[in-house]
Amino acid sequence: MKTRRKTSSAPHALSKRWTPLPWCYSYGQSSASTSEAVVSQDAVRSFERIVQVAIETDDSSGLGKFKEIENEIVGYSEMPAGWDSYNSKKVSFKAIELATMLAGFIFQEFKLIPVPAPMSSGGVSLEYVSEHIELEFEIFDRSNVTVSLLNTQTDELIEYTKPILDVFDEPRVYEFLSNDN
Amino acid sequence: MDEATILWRRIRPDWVQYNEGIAKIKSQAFQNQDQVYHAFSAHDSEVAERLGIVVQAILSDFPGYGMVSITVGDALALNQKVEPFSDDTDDPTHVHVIGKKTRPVRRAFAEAAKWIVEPSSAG
Repeated sequence: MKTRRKTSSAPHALSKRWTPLPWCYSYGQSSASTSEAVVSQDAVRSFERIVQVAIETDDSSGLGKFKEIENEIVGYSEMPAGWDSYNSKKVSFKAIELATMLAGFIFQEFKLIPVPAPMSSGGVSLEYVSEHIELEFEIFDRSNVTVSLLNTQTDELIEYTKPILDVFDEPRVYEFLSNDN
Repeated sequence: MDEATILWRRIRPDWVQYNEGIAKIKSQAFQNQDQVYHAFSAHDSEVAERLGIVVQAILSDFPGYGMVSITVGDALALNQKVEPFSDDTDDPTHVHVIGKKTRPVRRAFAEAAKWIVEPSSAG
């Protein structure tokens, strides 16, 4: 697979690096296992690198824009049920947390900033759009994320629903993100 | 319902992206509301006009929201059904646009939609 940037990374490696922060596990029905706790420590360090990398590269405008988008997503928590004027659900705290984590990870890895949107069904949508490709994550909870990758020239659509930990399993998702810098 | 029938749908400001001052509707504005009805809501403009209900009245309780129009034909072309939502006894104009809303379907609705009232940032 050819990429214009980050040629040392493979999809599998990306999936391995993607780990939501520990507080998303607090919503699970069972308590975190020892292995999850270890992974979570890695996740904390990974998150800290988001800020660190941005500062080191002096990409202040990119970080500023990212923080603006992050605040917009967090702001969805203030919208009451029925916010769309048609009996929509309140956007869930889980969806907001996971969306900010996923957006943060993609910003860290690719310096891409999404177009977010609240969903009437209570989730959060993150869109990454290039000239002919559109990638969308529809995030509901940690076991339920729908990924759509649409080629607007050929109308080819890849769509799947997976747990948030597995959203990068499709190689073309990685290919799009790494090429769209 | 005739293909030419115009449907109105309220648009919250969060569903609008501004590019150089032009308001572009996000495709999420045409997502299904839930897994019960597999539909989003709209208003039948012909019923509204018959009852003397104007766009401003449909927007009156939702300051800052915008309004777009699509046609029944737009929906049918995207393999959707349009049916009156009889459960809503308060609003006889209320219809459901029913069917799976894949990204291409939502995108096509967003492209077909025409602004009647653009939302304001105050919403």
